Amino acid sequence: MSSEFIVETEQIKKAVQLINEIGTEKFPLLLQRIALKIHSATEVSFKQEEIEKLEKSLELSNENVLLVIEILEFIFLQSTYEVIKAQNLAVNLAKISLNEDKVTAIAEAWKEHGKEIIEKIRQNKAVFSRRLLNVKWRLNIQMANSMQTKQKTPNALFEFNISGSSAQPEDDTVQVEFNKEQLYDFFLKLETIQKQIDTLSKII
Amino acid sequence: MSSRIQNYDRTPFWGPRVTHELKYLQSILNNKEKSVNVNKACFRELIKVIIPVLEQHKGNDYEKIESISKNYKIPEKDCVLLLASLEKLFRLAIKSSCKKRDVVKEDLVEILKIPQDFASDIINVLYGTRINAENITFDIPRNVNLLSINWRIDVSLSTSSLNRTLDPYILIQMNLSNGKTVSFEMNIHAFHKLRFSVAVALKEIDDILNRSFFKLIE
Repeated sequence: MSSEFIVETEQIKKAVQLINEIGTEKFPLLLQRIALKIHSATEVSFKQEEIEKLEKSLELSNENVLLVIEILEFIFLQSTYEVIKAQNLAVNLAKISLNEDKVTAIAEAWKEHGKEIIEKIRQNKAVFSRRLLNVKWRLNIQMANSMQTKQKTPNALFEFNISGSSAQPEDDTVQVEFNKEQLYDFFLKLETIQKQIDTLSKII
Repeated sequence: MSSRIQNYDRTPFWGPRVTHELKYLQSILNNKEKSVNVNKACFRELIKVIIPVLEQHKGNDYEKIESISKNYKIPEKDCVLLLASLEKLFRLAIKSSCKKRDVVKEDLVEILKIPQDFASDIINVLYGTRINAENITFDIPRNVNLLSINWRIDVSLSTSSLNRTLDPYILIQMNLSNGKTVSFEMNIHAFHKLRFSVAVALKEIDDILNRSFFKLIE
């Protein structure tokens, strides 16, 4: 059995009825707002006062407004999950008996914001362990030390900023020192990794 | 000793001050002490004992000192003093990092008045292959070094938010010289930034050493 894009549950049917009643001019604005905020892991799409304003302008109860927003967000998230194209989306939305104008409005919004939403969700909401955020470095020349004067050995100090993860919530900063030989070894290792990535991109 | 100085417009490699150890060495090697008689073979033995001390800062095996003292009929106390003075001499020579053997030899022979043979032995060891510069200068402040790296490339096929995706990322595990192990991942973009920074740092190192300022230091 092929999986449906959106399974038509009771809640969906109710939401579709409500959405179909929303005025055609107000609907795109609502979509824009949701599309902009959906990728954020921390913020909600609408704050409390804005929800009350929506209640008045759409003439819906609080419960219904929340339902409408939830369903629209769900449509966007599901589109991200399937990485669906705008036309396909339109076809699927028609299946759950949304009105034509609403369908076109949603498809338009997806065409405009879809790529951006996918990218941002890919970066933010994916599961990750500690990530490398930033690399800083400093190059010194060692001129002398307590055991030897008249030196000219170069010395590189690298600092890696590593973000926290759910296991280790703090951001970490790791400093590593390299002399020329060690830095060259490090570079060769990175080159090996790069070669592998290149062969990988040929396969994919 | 300074009454014999003639044309010295530069300081000898051991600096402006002649320390006790150097004076002691001078008097012993010139046979000024009756009880201590150091011949060539004995001197070579002493140098052999010194070299591991220079590299690792570990104490001597006392047996070696005892054997030298027995074989060459030098009181043990003087043996130890000799070794200490020799070590100081070597350390001073290494510290000055003078590339010219002749200058060092001239200093030893002319200023410190060490007999030619002993001076040649010292020079041969200093500039020979038995002393490795890196092993000698070990006792300096150091930052954390990288011991080894393990890496892994992953491609994520699907996540809970994206059904079909081909997203490569690289996991790295670095073993550091302070015993810590740091592991993290980076996406392709971060990896390229890292690779670029390392390449720029390497290039800067090469460029910098070619500047004329650094050629003067030789």
